[in-house]
Amino acid sequence: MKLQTLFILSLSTLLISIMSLIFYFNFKNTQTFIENQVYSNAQNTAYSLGLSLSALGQDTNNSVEQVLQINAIFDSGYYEYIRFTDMNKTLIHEASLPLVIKDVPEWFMYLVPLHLSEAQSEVNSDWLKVGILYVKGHTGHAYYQLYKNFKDLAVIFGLIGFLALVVLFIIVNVILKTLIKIQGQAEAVSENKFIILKHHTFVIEFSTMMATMNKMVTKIENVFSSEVETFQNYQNLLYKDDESQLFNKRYLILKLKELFSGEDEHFLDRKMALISIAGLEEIKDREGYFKYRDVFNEIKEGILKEIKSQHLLVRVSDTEIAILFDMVVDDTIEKTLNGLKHVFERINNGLQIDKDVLTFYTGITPLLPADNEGNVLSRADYSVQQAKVRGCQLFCSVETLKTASNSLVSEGKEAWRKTFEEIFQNNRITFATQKVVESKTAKTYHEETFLRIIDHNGVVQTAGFYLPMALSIHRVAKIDETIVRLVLEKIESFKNPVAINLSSDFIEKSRYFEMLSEQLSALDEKYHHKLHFEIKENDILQNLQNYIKFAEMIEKNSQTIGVDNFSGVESIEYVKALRPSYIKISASNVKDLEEGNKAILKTLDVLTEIMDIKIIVTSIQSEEVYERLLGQNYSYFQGHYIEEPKL
Amino acid sequence: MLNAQEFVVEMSFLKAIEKEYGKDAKVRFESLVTLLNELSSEPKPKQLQGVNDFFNKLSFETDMIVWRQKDYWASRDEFIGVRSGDCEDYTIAKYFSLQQLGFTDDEIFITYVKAIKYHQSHMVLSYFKTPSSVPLILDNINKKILPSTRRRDLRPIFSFNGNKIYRAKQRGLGKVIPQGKVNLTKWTDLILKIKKSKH
Repeated sequence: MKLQTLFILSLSTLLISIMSLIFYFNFKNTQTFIENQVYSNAQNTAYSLGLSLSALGQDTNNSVEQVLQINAIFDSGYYEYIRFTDMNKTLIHEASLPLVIKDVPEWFMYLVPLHLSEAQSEVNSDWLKVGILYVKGHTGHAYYQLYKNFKDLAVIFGLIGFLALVVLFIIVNVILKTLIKIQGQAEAVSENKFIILKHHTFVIEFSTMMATMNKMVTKIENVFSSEVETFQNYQNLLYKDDESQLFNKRYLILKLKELFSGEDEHFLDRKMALISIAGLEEIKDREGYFKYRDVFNEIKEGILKEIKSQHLLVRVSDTEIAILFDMVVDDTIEKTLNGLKHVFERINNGLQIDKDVLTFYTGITPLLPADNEGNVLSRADYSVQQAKVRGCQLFCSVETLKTASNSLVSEGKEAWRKTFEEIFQNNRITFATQKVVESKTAKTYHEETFLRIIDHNGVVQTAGFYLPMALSIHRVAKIDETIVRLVLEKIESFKNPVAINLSSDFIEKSRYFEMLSEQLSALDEKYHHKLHFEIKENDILQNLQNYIKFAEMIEKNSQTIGVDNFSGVESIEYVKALRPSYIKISASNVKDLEEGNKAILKTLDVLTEIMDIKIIVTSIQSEEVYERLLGQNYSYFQGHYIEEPKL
Repeated sequence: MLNAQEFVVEMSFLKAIEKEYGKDAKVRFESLVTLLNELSSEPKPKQLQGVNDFFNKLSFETDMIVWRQKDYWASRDEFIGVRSGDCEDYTIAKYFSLQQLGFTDDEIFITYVKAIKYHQSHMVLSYFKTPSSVPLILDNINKKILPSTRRRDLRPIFSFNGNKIYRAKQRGLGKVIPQGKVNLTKWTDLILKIKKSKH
């Protein structure tokens, strides 16, 4: 029960009890007062009439006068009866009124019995007593007065009670406002939010509590910020080139390793370009380091403008740059190379020194299944050498092992659009799942879904076959929508929570965002814990604000988000804003960090501990890797060794 | 505590009386307690005589002289304390003392009378042995107890129940008095400082 409810209930009960008691005693006093008043009136009447009858004496001739006096008094007042007897209690005369009570409900008379006493007076004749006069006030009149008073009291007490309850409610709310805020702050801490309260309160205890909580939250936030800074510094040292702030060769090798150990192999869409820049060394020698640095930065900025955010730009050496193209079709690479050619022309023109003409020799090579990072780098290098052998003035490129595009790729975008329409219409989208297992309990944390498309021949193809073109013609969001729909349709049948990968296209398009929000709002509460939404770190970094909005929507609907492809090299601050439940980091990355700087992993442990984030190590391909990671106290694992993706 | 078998009075009250009215007042109180104890086992005629004689020894003074008020009904304690009073004070003191000795409301009445000789309103206590018998009159003018038939000097006007009329009057004097039909015996006990002891 909420403290606020408890307060209001207790105080309301107390208030109602006190008011009921006051009402009861007030009513009882009124009842007694009315009874006494009626009795006093009756007694006064008895005395007055007794005195009057005494003046008539004992003369029997006066009996008519006696009756007249009794009747006159009776008729002029409101009495139940006036009875006159002799000293032997023999009735001489009685005037009475039947008990008729209008306007007073039966229940009232039943619940409030009135006890009106009979007043008496002696009637004398000289010194002798000649009779007794009995007078009783009318109960009906008393009831009428009492009932009217009861109604008035009920209305007054009802109004006062209502006002008192409203005031009580307001006071409790004002007093507890701070406490509720502190409660929110405490809950926020448990949800890894750092909220500093600036609310002012007149309750000293709450003010102290708020200051203490603020201090504690600030401390935690400071620890977090400090750890983030340390983590970032370590990562930069390991994976960033000091001079250009581009990723270094180590990072390129790591990414290649991750790709080759990945869960869902789709190499068709990945290529690497190695650009060797002839003439740079000469600039350094002749014009000095700063000129060289400026020219290199110009080249870097030029390339960054031409390539898309999902592609990786790496400084391999002082004169070499690599671009790792992710999910592209051939014409994309061609367009990019053409763009680069213009960039390089501009740079050369800008140099205005004939001697310092730069030549960009580019070698392109695909990433092939069952390949490795060494082979890719060797082939890229070989392609560069081939380009140099061929010779060119500004820019030339050679592609080794040019992969044969499948028929659909060669058909062009229009054909792909039709293909996807057909896929959507014929429901040829499905998904495979792969478990993430918690090693200590052997329980499944969730099952990640992987896109599968059924081709013309009914063969289930992996995403790599279709995704590059889907990206190119903007059908990825629609594919995500289909997967979400399929999962929600089957949600009852899942024993474990399901993780759905969502692309930036899906999240950034408001139509899909709203649709998902509505679907999740309508989802039965019992399935709330069964959905995890996975987003890629690289996508988050490109548009953090959208992802914050997305995370808020997911949290509002009691779902969970996770970060896929975590590296934290570029930034890790986003976890503070998104508060994911888990991050997925590849086994290759863990190994490389361990070899490069173990302190990074320790810092990552502290950060995830503070934020209550689970680390899931992915791409576990062998028992050896699994055992090694177990030894490093990792608990959540995913990969072919744990379980193959299955339909 | 002065303990004389049946009736007692708190020593603290006697001290308060002494402080308020002097030593003689205390003695008068003690005498009343003694008298009530002596009369408690006597027949009614003797009780009537004893009470009538005791209070008739106190001197008559008007309310204006004693209480600086036109009409003041003193309690028995006040009457004994100041040792003076008018006809109402005599009658009330006798009424409550007899009530303490066991006389009922059907036996003793406060009666308004006209003192014919003085052409004045007056108050006496009437004792009816039975409801229809001729009453005995306890008066402070004629200090003997006589049947009403021998009191030609008095013309009765009306008789009241002593408790009720006393309460009504006290209320009129601004004193806090229980309302209506409350237990009169308890109220009487409350106002009388001389009490029956608990055997």
